Amino acid sequence: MTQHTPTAAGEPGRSQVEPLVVARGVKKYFPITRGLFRQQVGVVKAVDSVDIDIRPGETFALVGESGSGKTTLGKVLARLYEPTGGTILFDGQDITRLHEGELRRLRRQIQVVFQDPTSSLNPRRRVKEILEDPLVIHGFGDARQRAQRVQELLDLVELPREFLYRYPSHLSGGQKQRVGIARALALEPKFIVLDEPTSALDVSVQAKIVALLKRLQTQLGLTYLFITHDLSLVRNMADHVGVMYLGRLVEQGPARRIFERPEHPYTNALLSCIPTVDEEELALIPEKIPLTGETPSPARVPAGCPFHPRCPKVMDVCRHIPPSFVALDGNLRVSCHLHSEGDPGRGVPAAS
Amino acid sequence: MGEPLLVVEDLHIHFRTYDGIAKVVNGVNVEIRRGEMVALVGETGCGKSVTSKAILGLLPGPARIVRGDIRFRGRSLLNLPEAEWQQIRGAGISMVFQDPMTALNPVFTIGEQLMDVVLWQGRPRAGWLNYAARRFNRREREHAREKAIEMLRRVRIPDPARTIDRYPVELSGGMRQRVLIALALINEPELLIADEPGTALDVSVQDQVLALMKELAREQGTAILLITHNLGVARQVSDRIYVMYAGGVAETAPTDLVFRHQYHPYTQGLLQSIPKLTGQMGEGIDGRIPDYVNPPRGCRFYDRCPARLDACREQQPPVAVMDQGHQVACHLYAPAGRSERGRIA
Repeated sequence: MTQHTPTAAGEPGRSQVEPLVVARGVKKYFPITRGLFRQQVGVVKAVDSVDIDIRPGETFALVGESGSGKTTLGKVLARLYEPTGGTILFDGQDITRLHEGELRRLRRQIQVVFQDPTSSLNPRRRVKEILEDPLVIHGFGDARQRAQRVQELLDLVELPREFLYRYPSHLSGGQKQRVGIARALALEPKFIVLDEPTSALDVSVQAKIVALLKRLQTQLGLTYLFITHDLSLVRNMADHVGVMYLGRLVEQGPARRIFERPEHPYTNALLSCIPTVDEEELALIPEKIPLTGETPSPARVPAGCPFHPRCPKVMDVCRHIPPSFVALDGNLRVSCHLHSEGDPGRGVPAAS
Repeated sequence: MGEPLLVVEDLHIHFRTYDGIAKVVNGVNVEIRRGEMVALVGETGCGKSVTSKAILGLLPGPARIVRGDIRFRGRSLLNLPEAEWQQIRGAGISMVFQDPMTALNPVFTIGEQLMDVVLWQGRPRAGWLNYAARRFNRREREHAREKAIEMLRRVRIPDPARTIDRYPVELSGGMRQRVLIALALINEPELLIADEPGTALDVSVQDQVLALMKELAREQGTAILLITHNLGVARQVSDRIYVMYAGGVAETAPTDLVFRHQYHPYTQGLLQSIPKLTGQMGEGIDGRIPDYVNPPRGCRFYDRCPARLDACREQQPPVAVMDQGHQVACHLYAPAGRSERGRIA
């Protein structure tokens, strides 16, 4: 058993390091169209006004339930989607709007590992070809150098070399996900978006993959954006956590701070319904807050605070005025009227 | 205490595949008493779903029960004629399926599906005259509709009198899962088999659904057989846990004992692999489940076991009875020379 200790990035010294990814007011809207002429009748605000800083070498976890926009935000930050509004800086460079050639160059720096290893690997290509593809596309060396790099990649993800000529269908789920990780590492990226990389796997395999991801991070100095719905996993992976609800970040801060004292009622409720396996763990769970109802559709976000129809601590102001971010102790930022000082609804805007 | 409600005894299920005969379920013993909540826990491919399907007589074509017995209320369910199955399914034993998105028929309203269960389930297939008499009997239909609305109210669906005329697509995932529970419980079965209920839903919704299912089952004295891969969920719902690995039961005990102490190296590894809120997470278990066409001769966990002995390679593990109903199928706990018969009961 290993005790997860957050790296320096999660501690107060964090603010001195230049962030690798800076997002300000990022939005991603999808139009809803109807009829023959695809007339726009509405908009899904999948991601709405999100500010995020990700420091080099840290793991930033995005947590949320289905429809919270966590995957969309991940894809926007990896620039698989172009944001509808806001700016994204990567390593000091503005990557909000890029043309094709620039995007291709950016792909060497930013890679993605997808959720389902079975559908994200081409079933008709051998492991060797899957791993070689990115190298060929980006013009990496000659055939011999590429072959050597492919072998290095297999070693990195602890797969035996005889796997080179196998098809994905001959691999187990965990082995496939290792190939997915190796493919993401092929071009030596700095930043990897991990979109639920273990949620299709059994826990005994998940633990192996998580250990591998942690080792690779230290060994190669990688920065992760870890997207998941599993809070217990976040506790073991992340330095920094952002909780999403209906396209908005409702709370973000160092992992330890959020898990010890969550401030947003939604985070609290999420933590309170985690199934636990021992008493020690149970002691860390906040008092049970039964959430009523389900997340509404992102096409019909409630007015005011988007969480107010399900919030156990709803106040009158929540129904009308969307809360702004408030900075609390321990580097935590929360968007909730409970924490707005003085005049609720116009809380102290957090310095970003 | 008499005969338990359901007894699965030394169940062996084989599948015909292109590669040969896959010996998928290899001697499973499970007992469920009236009103008891029992969980079958295991990872992908351990045989937990196949076992549950065998109980309902829903095994797919290539599967065959080659040995063992399944008894419900003291009566064997093997080789039961279809007419008798129809009196058991839905009335004696019912099932909640995993995926609320696909388990409901999209072209009928919630009410039609619920009323069908009330009117027809648990009765032998009738001739068409009989069918017509019941189909168009207004009083009986009204009674069924009332019962359906009452059931929807019990699973806490808002505004049941209107929701009953809606189609499944009009409901959210959590609501559909509630409808599935309503369908399964409306005829007050004695046993409810729940295959990964709520796994397709968000944690906050899953939590509500599990609590509801447990509460309703308690109220009407229905026993639950919960199939899950999540030990945390099993802990929340069950009184007794069977941990399955590769077609067999590795360990079984009352739920709180399983979490207090695990004897089988697989259970230990599994529990350690779960990420915990305390920030602890084990290293996982090496390797993968064995090939079922040519399974290992001895213990099926042999290749992955950190504590294996020489005996494990050749001999199937005996069942060791530990304390207070805690049983484990592992050579580590069988004193040498004492051979025991059979597997976990």
